[in-house]
Amino acid sequence: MGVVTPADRELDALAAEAAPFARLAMVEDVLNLARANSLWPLTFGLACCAIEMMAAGASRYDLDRFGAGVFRPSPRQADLMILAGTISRKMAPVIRTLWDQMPAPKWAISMGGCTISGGPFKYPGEYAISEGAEKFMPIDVHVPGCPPRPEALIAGLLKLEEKIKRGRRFGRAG
Amino acid sequence: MDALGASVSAPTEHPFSGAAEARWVAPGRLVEASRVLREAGYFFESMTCVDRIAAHGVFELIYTFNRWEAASRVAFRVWAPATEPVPSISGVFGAANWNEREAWEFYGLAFSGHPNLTWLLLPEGTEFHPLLKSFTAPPASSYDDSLTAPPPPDDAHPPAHH
Ligand code: SF4
Repeated sequence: MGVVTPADRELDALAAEAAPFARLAMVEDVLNLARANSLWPLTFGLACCAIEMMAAGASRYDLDRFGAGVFRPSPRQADLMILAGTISRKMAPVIRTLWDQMPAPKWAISMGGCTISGGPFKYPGEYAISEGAEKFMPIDVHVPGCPPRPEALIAGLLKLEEKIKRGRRFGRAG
Repeated sequence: MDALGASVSAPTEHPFSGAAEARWVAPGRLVEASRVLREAGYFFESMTCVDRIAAHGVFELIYTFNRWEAASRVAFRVWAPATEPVPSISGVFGAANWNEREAWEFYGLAFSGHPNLTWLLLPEGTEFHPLLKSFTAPPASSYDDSLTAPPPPDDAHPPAHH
């Protein structure tokens, strides 16, 4: 998951050392503000919820207003994974790989009942659908609905932005 | 259609089944019959499989073919003994390749001469056949959704200023 590079450790050590003399907190805050307002989602849809995600990205709901409209074609360029749709068990390992390929800091929104718990596909004897993304990767914000309207996704994004501005994130376990 | 002499006409009503003509075809004559259609300008539309094991010990395969003329859909109905492989028609109609893979993974019905009989929709290595009427639930051990180590706790590494 989170790759902690030697440079990360050095920076942290330096920050700890300098703490009595310099206020690096402001630098962190400014960085987080920048991160929160320039989320780059991975271009990536799984089922019906993805249609609503596309609607949210298109002109009427316009995710660009929140800086989150630059859908990236490669996980290496993305820092937000919007899980939109049904996760089949065949697809789950692929999603996990994509998540692992995204550089930290990174965040994930699970959109719709399917990615939260298996949604309408959760029943005894179910054989093909994963019961929620959280079984195999961390999720920051859950957006319930089947599917959630674009407004709901935008609300989820704003929640995530709040979280990021407070300096909370996955991917730097150390 | 006379060239399909090897097959027996099955009753069908176009408004209900969508097929202008339906034929009973023995599994052994399936490839030959498909080739006749191919040469007559038909294309492969679809194939469905029905589990009739409890009543008859067979799978019923329904192949549909069509061409760009009004009301010309042809259906082949094949009763395939559950234990014997059915000859693959993917050599005649390439499009049948995936339908046969699907029937194989969901019903366990084998196709002989298929170039790549492997899982299409279910994860590789799945050992049960979920669309069989005898299927109730996958073995408990077969799925563990947690693919690797659990995710690290949120804020495992809070920023220095907190
Ligand atoms: S939550 Fe509902 S709308 Fe969304 S992918 Fe699942 S079934 Fe489709």
